[in-house]
Amino acid sequence: MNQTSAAQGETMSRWVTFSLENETYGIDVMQIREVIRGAEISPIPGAPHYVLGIINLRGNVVAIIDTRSRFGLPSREMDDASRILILEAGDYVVGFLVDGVSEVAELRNELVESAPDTGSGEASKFISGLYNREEGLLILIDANRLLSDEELAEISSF
Amino acid sequence: MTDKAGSSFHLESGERLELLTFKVGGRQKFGINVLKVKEIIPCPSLTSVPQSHPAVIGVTHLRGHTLTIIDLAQAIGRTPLRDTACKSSGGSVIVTEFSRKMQGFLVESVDRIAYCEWKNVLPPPAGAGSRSYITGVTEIEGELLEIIDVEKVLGEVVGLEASMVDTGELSPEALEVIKGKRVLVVDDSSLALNQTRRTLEMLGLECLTARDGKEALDILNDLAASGAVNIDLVVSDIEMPELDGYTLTREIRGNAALQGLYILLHTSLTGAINTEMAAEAGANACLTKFDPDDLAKAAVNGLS
Repeated sequence: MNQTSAAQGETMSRWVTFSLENETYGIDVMQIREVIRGAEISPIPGAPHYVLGIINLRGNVVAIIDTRSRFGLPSREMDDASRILILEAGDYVVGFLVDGVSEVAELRNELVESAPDTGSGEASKFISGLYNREEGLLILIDANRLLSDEELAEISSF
Repeated sequence: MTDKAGSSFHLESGERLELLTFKVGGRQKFGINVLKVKEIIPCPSLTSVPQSHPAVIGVTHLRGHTLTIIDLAQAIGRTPLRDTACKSSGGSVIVTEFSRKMQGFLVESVDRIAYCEWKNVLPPPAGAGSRSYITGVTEIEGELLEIIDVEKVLGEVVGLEASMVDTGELSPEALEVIKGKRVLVVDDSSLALNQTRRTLEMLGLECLTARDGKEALDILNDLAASGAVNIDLVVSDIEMPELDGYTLTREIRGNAALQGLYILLHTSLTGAINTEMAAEAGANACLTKFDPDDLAKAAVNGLS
């Protein structure tokens, strides 16, 4: 019954959920080009601290961001569950390393809550909202705001 | 300290203060005005948000709201509670609403509700420094109770609301009329005092400040005695040590030399009850903190 009413009046959106440390995050499927298994990442000497290195993605060189460092979390070795989200941010294609990718969740847009004020100003502006599910709160991320314009420019020079 | 006219008001609820008392580790008891408290919940399951302020331990979902939870002990410079109070249970979260915001404060334990009167609340001693996290001290059953400046804590953790005024919303004629007029700003929270002062100064007003109702009344009485009351507007907080905003208003209204004053009460509490009580005490208007545009409009309105 719920599903019928959802189909009639509400707008839904689809989000890829991924995990980092103990929390679950969501990113709009429209902003994700693909999800790949942890590939061989070649480190780049002198790169910014949040850049893990580069990979060769079917002939294209893509910079890989350490999402943990971006989010202020302790770093961790890659394992079998690790995935790289290839995102389209502005004109650039960038990879973000995460602990694991879980599913594609359908969210009702009207239930998305605005991001809470946690006192970090600029640092957390990539959080676009929160979504309450039975499994717990999902933190929604806007891929376009994960990197600043300066950072994107810096990365694009690789 | 109070004259005869004042003493009869002590029975009225406006002067009574109910404090929720709690501990944040250690023996010292602290208090928060009950009117700022919505409910008390056990430490909920928390979602940590990346890049939060260090004192923010996470967010939780409470009846349709997401709530930011602040470790009060850490925010006021004590040993953080998050690892003890939340994990071994027993910790409580005081859910509060003030300054137009809702947030939770993690404390070690909630004690009880204590009653006292504003006139028995003393401002923090000068030696405590202007940066202390208390707005007042009182004695409950022989024990010293410190009232936490939760506005200051919130301001430091989630950031200040801008005190910028959009002067484009106000007519240039109105701004010309109020230019150079003098305002007495009264607030026991240094943060709120500065916010209010900055906003009013942006309108071209000249500001005097007082830290509580008694200090404000002393200033006004001195002016009245000298026969030159060069103040047009009083913007006062309501909940303050020694002399609260309602009593201050009544005292001003009881003094013939101060009749011309426009009184704007400015509170962090939400609710219609304040508006009614403010009108009853004789204030011209009542406003919820803190919206610089609303404050500017109210000030212009009062001075025009």
